[in-house]
Amino acid sequence: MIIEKGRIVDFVLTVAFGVIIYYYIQQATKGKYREVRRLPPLDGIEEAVRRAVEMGRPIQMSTGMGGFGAETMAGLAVLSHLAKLCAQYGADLIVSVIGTNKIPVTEAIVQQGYEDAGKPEEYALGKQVRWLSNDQFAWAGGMIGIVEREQVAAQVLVGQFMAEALIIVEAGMRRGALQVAGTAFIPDIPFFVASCNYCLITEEIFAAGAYLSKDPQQIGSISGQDIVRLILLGIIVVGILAAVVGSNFMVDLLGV
Amino acid sequence: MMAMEFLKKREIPLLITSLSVVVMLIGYFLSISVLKDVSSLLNRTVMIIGGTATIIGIINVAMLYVRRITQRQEGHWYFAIYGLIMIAITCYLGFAHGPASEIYIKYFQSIIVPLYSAMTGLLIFFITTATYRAFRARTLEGTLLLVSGCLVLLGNAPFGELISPVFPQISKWILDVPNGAAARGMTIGSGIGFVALGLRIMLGRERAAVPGGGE
Repeated sequence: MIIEKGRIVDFVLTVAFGVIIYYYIQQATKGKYREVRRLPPLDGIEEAVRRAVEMGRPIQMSTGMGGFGAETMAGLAVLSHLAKLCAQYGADLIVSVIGTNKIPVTEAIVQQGYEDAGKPEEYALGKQVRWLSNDQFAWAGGMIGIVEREQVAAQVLVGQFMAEALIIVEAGMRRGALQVAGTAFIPDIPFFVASCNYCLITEEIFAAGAYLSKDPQQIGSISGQDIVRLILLGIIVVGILAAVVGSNFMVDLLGV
Repeated sequence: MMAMEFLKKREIPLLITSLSVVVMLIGYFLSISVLKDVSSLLNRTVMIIGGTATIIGIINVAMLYVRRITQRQEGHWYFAIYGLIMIAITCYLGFAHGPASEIYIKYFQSIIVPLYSAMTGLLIFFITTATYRAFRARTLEGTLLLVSGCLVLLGNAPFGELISPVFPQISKWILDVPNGAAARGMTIGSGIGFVALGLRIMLGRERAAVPGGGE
């Protein structure tokens, strides 16, 4: 067998889901796509930038910990939009980075944002993007320091956050910063809900790039996700019904 | 010059990204030894790049500190001096004595351990203040959160079991059934979002992967 044992169904489902999402992306290219429902947390990003401009204080952004995982990529998509907005409105942007390997990519995205806004001269190396540490709590401490010393007007945190999340958002909360936060790490969701003005919950962060770009092809991928979700819901319902009548076939099937 | 322009084009990084994703995916699902070797090589390459990138980070932060000191940035420059001194001491001890030496480990731990303890202590207080704000019975959802939160607290605190042995059972049920179901739903949603994001990146539609993409 060329496919690894125990991964056959995983393989089939992954390929099928990829094909479905790709089909909807292609459909969107032809103009056939549905509008995405409003996501207030993402609309809150513009509110955060405006607030920063009105108060004359900076806005702090972070894409969280980890390397270039899916959450970081989602955070970078938000950063791309945020950098452009900050350049357009004239808000001071501080991007606090953990992980040295993320610096070149983060700088390139922020620079691109300033270029897209027609203000490339306002981007300076080391001004917007700051590497604080490679260590989780040292980085969190650095972010709290920026919140306190520079009295940030807003914080946007989208990416992989862990135990340090509450420390960062509570510091922003005490400073009165408007906060937009999102992560796919479930234990952090209650922290963000309790301490932030807007919260993106798990999969919403992966739709952020598509939602903010308003690019039909990206939005098409979200329609594809909905179909995949329906299929999975069907599998779950069938599995529940099978379990109720005492059959283990779904568990056996998924284990193939 | 022309070679640099060619390399800067967004198609090149996009091609590398897509190829890497395909190789890693196929290497995971299919039992083809060559692909497994390539995906293992890619994993090692990522670690090497990550390690090398630390140098970029140190240069970046040192440049930032030097700029702050030379410009006498208000509220920053004296911290920058401290930062530079710490970088210099760490580098000296690391290079002169080695990262496994007793002096290096003692120096590192005598700073890191108290700082970590302080941060963890802060976390406890922040959890309390955040919980106080979240646990307010102003809406139906808020009331449900308050009641379930109190029950879970009673179930996990030692005195909860002393009051009634039912509390740990209720706490376990809340965590395993409603909480577990919601968490799994979120995890499945995340997985689907992850696949869609990956496809957008491979197709060059996601700006995060390649600046300029999605335009």
